[in-house]
Amino acid sequence: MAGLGDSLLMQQLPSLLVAVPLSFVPLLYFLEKVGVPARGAALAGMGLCLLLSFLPWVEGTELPISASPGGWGGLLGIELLLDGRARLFLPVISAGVFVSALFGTRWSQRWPLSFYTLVFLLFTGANGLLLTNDLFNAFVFVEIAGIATHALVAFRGDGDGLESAFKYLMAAAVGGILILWGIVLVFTATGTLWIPLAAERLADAPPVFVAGAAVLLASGIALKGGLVPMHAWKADGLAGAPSAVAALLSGPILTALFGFGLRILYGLFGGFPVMEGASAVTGGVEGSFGVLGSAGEVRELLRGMVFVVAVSSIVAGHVMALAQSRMKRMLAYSSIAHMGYIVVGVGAGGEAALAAALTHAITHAFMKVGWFFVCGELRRTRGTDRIAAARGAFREAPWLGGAAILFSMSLVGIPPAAGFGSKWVLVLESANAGAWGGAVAIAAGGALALPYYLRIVVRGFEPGRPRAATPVPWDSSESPSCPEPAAELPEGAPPHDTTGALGVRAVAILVCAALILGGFAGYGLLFSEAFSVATELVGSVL
Amino acid sequence: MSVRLTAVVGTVAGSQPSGFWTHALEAPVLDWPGVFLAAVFLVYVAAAGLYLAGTQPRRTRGWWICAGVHAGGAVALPLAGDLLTFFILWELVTLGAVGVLWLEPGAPRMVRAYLPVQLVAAAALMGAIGMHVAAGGTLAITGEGLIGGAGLALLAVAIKAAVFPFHVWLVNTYPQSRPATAVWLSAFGTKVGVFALLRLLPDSGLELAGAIVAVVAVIYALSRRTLRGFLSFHIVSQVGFMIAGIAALSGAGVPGGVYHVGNHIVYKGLLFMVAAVLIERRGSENMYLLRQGESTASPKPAQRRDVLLLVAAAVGALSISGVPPFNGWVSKSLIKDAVEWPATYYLLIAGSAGTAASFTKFIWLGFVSSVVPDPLRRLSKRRSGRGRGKDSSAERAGSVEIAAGPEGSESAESAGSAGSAGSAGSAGSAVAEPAGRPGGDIARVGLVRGLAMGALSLLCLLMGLQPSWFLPPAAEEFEATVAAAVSGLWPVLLGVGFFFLLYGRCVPALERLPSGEGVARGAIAGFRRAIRAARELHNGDLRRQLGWAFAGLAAGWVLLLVFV
Repeated sequence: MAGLGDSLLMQQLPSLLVAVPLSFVPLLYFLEKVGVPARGAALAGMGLCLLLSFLPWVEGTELPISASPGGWGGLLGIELLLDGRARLFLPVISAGVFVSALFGTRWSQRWPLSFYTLVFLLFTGANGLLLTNDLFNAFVFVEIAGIATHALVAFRGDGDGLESAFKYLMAAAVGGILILWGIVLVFTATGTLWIPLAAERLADAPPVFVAGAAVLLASGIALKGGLVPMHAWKADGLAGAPSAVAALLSGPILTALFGFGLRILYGLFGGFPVMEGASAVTGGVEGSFGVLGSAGEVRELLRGMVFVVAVSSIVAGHVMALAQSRMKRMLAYSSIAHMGYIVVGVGAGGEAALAAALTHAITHAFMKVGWFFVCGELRRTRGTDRIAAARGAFREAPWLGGAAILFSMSLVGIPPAAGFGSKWVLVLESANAGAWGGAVAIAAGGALALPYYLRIVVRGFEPGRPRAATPVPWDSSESPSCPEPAAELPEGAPPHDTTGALGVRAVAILVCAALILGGFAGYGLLFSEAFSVATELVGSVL
Repeated sequence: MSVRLTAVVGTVAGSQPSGFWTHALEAPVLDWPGVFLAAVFLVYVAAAGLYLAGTQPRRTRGWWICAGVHAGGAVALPLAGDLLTFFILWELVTLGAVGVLWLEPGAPRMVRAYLPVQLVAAAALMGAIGMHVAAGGTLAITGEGLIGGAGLALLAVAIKAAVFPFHVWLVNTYPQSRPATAVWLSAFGTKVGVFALLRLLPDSGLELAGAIVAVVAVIYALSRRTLRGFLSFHIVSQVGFMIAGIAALSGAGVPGGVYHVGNHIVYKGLLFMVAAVLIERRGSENMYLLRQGESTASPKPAQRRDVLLLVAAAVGALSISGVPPFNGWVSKSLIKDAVEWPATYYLLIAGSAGTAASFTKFIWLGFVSSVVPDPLRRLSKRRSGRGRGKDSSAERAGSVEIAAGPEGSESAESAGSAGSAGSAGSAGSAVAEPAGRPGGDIARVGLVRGLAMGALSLLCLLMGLQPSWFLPPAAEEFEATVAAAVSGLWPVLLGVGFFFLLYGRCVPALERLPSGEGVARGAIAGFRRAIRAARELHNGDLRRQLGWAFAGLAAGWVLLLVFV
């Protein structure tokens, strides 16, 4: 592999990571015309992207790798930047998209071309969001991902799916507009959209612009990520989506959004230093810190708002998850709580707490994807994601029950699942950085979370099946809005898919389970990688 | 001891990201409290395993795995060298117990009583460790305990050790599991909590609180009618003794408290074993039914075999009451000598006396008679309470007999045990015809169980006679003099006298004690209501969803504009 480090491939890697998934969007169509099945081509393409995403880890790679497609220099400064943060998250996104695409057999078998085209579009948006170093492209990628998302959420084509897609569309549109306004304010104040230059000029900009842009961008990202008080659409938006799509949106896409948020926070606004009075030995840069550093009060006010948002996300997410009777809604609320965990780590400031937040983002992606897969399996066999209908499901498929227990343990934070490691470190490091209120909220979160997972596990291992054959109102064969699949379904076919796709789906679930177990085993390594990324982020501010 | 193991498998110590590395495992701490407790746990695992091996029906493999996780976590926890291991083992103890309870008949009720509160304890412990680190502490377990988060740690300990207001989980799970399951569970959970007090909060200053708990729990124990409900409250009471000892400031307190933990595991296990046999034999938990219908004048063969059981029960009762030369005497003497305040001392004396009275009742109702003697009532020739004591034998003996039946204040408790009496059939049928069971055929003690009980009985005696074989620091502080024997004995005599003279009079008052379950039920109802309110707030109205988002944005903007 010698010489790969400075090869043309590596120089163009940031562009390739966006261009390859994007090129598969039209390519799938033509390949199918030639006779290559869309599913095979798509999985091959995603494998290629997965491979590419691991290239920055090759020995001798010098980060950051910068690429300016089109050669626009100067003020326009269109740049894709592959830094440590992107290197850490790229494999997470690629692997998450890959297993989700693998898992989504039900809908991809029915409409393979459109499903994989949309997934590739989403993939492009996620990778681009992570890599972009200018605000113009950031907005473009936000919208690319958003468009693909709406279509994918509505993919089932039934009433639930359309309602979810509409709510998702409205919320994401508002979020996009907020982000756009924030970008407009930054541009007005600085005259550039290139993040490093904008950050430099923001230092001299009027504080009203800076604060306004910060609030708008933060609100937009919080709306997309589902933080209190902008979380209310989230469960509705995911409830009607196919399980594989819900997994995509809660795992890899949230991770990409978090990566983008970090770029904005640290690249543009200087991030949060360690709080005053914290006993932390690490981190903690005194004096002026980034753009908002000149106004210490503003920074601390922002931090206070961040903590209020984070803690109320944790509480609201877990409490609402307890109240749900449908698994997808429950998992969506649980995601809200976990976003709260991560934001506590970010708000606490300093390298260690930030590294803990990064690792939790990674472990959360896989455990949530895994749980959505379990939910998808239950939907496949039971025809609904109602918790009551899960009765007896794990008894019939103990491996599925085992996976559900593992993912639940990880989400609650019980060893030996990776989620325990990241939650433990997050509690300790946030407390260590002075955010002990957030740390206590995270610790208490586990106590609130276990009952709702345990409920499903217990129900799944109970003997017997749910009483009557469950009506399947969502099934597209009965839905007037979408007559096409009805023609495909043979007469009298079971309402749910019992074809032999289990193998692939089982593989997808087991991959997630293996990652969760492996993440616990290799937690030290993961954390030290995250720590170096966090050090780089904090260091880049000065 | 300062060998640093790597953070988690697969990491080399050299990859520490900076000088601050809070996530390292430390080598086990092998100090005397930890080693002693781990050893006692191990011995008890062997004895209780033997006992369960001789019990029908056999436990399933899943049950044994959960029980093994529970006990294994408890065996390893006293040796944990860092808080991460400590927390993981603490969780294992909890999860193992949840698994065991889950596999019992009547599981949902027990798991509901057990799990939520244990989750709160685990979260509190995690939060406490976080605040300890926030205050600048390290994860290594040292003699100093936590330097931050004492309140949260105290909550965790109080729940895990079932200290009085947090004991509800204990008295709602152990008495309702199958009899032999309680034998297994009784040893580990609460002792882990007490040990956590020693490790995390050595300077807790809870001496007086421990003594108060000891007395209050004894009063509750005296009010119980079910055998294992009674034994469970005695766990709470003895935990009070242990806490008083560990929190006592003088030198003998900690060895005394730790020795009491070990002693208590042994004799309480023995008592639970005896209780399990009695319950199987009679098919009832009700203490007043254990002898009913059996004549003491002409013992049947089954009753003659009771002699062996009686020996075991007597050893357990003598030990827990603190009669010399049994083991409870040694540790209780140490604790009483160590406490600082006179109030604590007298409360502990009262607790000892109450314990002695309780276990006189245990022996009396289990092996002698089904009626509690009440000489005062005979003097006054008055009948006992309305609707009670219709039996002419009660009148003749001048005794108070508590009728078993649904009208009692503990009807809920007996109903709970009815579902879980397990092997011996339902308690309900036994209540209907208590005398109809031919004792010996139902439950022989058997050689295996006899061995287990004999071993623990012997251990009770040995731990009392030769403390230096078990815990040298305790033995150093303790001198087996006549004065010590007398000071151990007089509270016992006081308690025995109380039982024979006054207890019959106190029963009606004792049975009116508030159970505290209303508070728990109210808390659960309040939580449910809060969840429902939150659910109604999130009602799926898109206008509301976006409205909140804009309100959040506006709030953020206004706040910033005000400050900028």
